[in-house]
Amino acid sequence: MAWSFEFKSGLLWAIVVSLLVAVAIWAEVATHTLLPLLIPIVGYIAFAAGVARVKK
Amino acid sequence: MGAAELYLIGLRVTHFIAGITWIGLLYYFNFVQVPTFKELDAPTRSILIPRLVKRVLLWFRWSAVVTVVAGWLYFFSWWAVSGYFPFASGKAPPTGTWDLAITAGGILGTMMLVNVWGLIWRNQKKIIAATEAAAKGTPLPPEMPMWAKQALIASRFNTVLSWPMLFFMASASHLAFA
Repeated sequence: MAWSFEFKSGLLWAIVVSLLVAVAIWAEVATHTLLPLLIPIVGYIAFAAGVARVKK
Repeated sequence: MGAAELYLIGLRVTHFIAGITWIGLLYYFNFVQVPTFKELDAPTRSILIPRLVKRVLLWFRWSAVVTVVAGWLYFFSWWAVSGYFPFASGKAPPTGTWDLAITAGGILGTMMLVNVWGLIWRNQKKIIAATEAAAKGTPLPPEMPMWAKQALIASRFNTVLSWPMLFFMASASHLAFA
């Protein structure tokens, strides 16, 4: 995979979302609720909205 | 072997086979097809897109659905068989390594599925339709590079995200982090 804009964008967002999942799992253990699992979902929505705004 | 065990192993094997198909095709797209297509001229690509790419995408998107549906069915069935269901019982969610690792991997895998249908397939079907129309004389739409770019970002994202997803899935039974 070339070091392109598409790869850099995908890599950056995948790292962000993975970190958010790790935080959510830690928070799930700390709070004993499933609510923190919404954190990475919000992160993913931000990614999808960002991609939808990408033009040529 | 009881009915419950047969049901669970059936889901597990289905999840594995569909998952291998899905991620295998994802890696094929990213490591083989995208660089190869860059080397091909437009007429050759227009022959391959409606035939090869269309067929690959059919297996790709439906194997993604089967993988995620079978995975979550297994997860919640396992909770039910184990007498645990937080939504029904009001209990705190289980915090064992297996539950946490599968939850993390499942969330990542579900995001990848949404990407497949919401970004990759949504853009690729426009590209396929435009390519088929171009073969009949209709000029290619100016939005084509934008569709390709959006699909490629989502595909790159899925490729990188598959690594932590598989790490969590594999560590469920092989790494004690909780």
